[in-house]
Amino acid sequence: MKPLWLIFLLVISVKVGLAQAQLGTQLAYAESLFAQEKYFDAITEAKRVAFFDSTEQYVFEVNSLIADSYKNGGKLSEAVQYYTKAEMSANTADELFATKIKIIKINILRRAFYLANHQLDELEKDSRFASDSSTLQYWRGWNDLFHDDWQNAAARFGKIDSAAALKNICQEVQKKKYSVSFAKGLSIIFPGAGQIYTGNYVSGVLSLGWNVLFGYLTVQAFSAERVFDGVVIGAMLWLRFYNGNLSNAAKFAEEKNSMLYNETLDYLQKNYQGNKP
Amino acid sequence: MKIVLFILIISSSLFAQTDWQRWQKSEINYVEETDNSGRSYSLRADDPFEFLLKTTAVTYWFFISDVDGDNCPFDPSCSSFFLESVKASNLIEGTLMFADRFTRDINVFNRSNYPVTKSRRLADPPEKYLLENSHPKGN
Amino acid sequence: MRSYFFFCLLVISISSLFAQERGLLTPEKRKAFADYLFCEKDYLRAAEEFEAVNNENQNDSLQYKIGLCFLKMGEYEKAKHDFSQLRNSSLGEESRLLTLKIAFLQNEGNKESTEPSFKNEVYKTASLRLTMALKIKERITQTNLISLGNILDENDKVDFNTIFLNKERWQRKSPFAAAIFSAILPGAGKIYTKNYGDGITSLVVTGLFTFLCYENILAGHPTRAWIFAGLTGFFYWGNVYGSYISARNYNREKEEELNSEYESYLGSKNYFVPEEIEGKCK
Repeated sequence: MKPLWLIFLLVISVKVGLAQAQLGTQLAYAESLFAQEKYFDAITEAKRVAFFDSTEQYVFEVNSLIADSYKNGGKLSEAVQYYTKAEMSANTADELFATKIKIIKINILRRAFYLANHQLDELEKDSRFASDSSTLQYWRGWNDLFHDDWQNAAARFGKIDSAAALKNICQEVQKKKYSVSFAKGLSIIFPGAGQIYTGNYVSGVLSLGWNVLFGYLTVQAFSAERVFDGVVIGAMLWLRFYNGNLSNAAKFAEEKNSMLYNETLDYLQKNYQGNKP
Repeated sequence: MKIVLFILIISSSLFAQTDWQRWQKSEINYVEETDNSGRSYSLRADDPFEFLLKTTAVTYWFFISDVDGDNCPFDPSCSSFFLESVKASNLIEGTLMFADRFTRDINVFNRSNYPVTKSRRLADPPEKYLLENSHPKGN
Repeated sequence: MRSYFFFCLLVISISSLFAQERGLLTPEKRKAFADYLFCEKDYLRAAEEFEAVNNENQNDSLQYKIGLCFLKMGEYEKAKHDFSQLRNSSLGEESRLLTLKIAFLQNEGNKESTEPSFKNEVYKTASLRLTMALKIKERITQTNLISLGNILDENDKVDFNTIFLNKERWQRKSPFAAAIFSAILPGAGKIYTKNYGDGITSLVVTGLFTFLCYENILAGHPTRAWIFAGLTGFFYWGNVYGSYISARNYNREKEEELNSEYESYLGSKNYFVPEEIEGKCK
């Protein structure tokens, strides 16, 4: 009787062990698909692990793998959904921190700046991550950088020794940026000057020409006591071109800044070797 | 109520729909998308009449429209609307469509019945106003 | 006796060890996983799993589920292909009913009328309702509304009656009338088509240029008078044209709105197709 019992127990334990090993093998297979950049299939296989993982042994690994796959497929909302699941099943503080940072990186990428900032605030308040303050500072820098706030980004990177290159880039961009209010101010005083400041010479000269012409005609009409003509030319033509001159000055400065912003981000994406979103 | 229900149904199946087509690796572009749907200053035309019209429009854009500020809330702008209308119909119908559009442009009362485009303009395509139009676009 | 029982248990346990050789890819496990994916609305993955099992062991219910996955994803041609292969199977009636639903979704005419009637009473009623819904989509008439009486529930009858009233009795705007109204009083045609802002603007603009033209004639400025006369004509005729188009667009938009209301009503009823034949999920 006894040997039969023992064999039975042995078989059961082998069976349980085998089932666990199968899940491990399956997860490794999903990871290998991920490594081969077959992200869609990696998700299928990871979902299979989750479905058969009755003891919920691999919940964190599975959700992280699915989230990473979605991110690499450019599907950020889905990635956040699974990172959030992974966050809830993190086994250690390190896993939790790493997952939260991954969510923050996605929020930076999808330009949810206030949310990313809020999440960084939360991490900063958490005593478990007191030693990670420079990591948090680093991602705050990236958040500012994506938010077109190069000055703050430079200040944050300046506090981290390893981020000196990023600091220099941010400072450089800050120097090259056009001031929108300065461009507008120039055009208020001298029509066309704001456009010339931003390098749009033809538009600046044209603006100046129209303003001089209609300004002259308005003044001339009033001097000749043709009040109706003066009001019509002044309100419908001079004012129109004067306003156009102001909005163009601001628009050109914004366009130039936007080009600079995109060129720098493109450069960082292609050339910066360090940690990035 | 119906709209809320519709949004709920749509949002609940949103994630699943992502995977209803196989997808591949796709790198997120750091560069912010900008609106490139500007005017075409090209003078390429199919016939002399269109060339004449296009030249007039480009001259108007260069000397006036580009310098007098952003005064048109619509997409396409009034001058582009005129060009497209004439091209899609004829000079008379196109002119009538343009006159009607001009009235809509100076209407200061209510403009809530236009769909808003990505560049936050009011979508008002000429196809919607053609006499011979079996498939209206826009709203 | 007890030792015999333990021996049996042992044999079963050992044999199940061999079943684990294929890991998580045994047909039973794959099917269970596919059913889970289906209920999670992950239809493409579910279809691929069902297909993998079906390739190994051809089965009508698997083929039916593959068809369901495609139906749910809106891949109607693939779904029709799968259902067409099941016409003579035990799931033939379900497949035919779903094919009828696809015909409705694809805006195709009803081809089902030449086919034999359904044996299952529930499916028969569903198919009759769906066929009627298809006819009503093309054009609702008092006759087909009356014939609905035999096949609809009381509540549905009330809904259909409302749809009929909405669809048939709304006030169409006549494009010609709109144009004539605007020809008599600029902007009146636009106001008739409920474009109040455009109507008033048109009246003000045309009126203003007419006034300026008149003033310049009186003041003896013929060139200016001609310019303002031209502008008056430009806005006047533009408004007559625009009023005609405005009435036409009003009718089109209203029709589209009513059609989409009808579609969403039928959608909420699942096109009268019993939900349970489209896959059971908790």
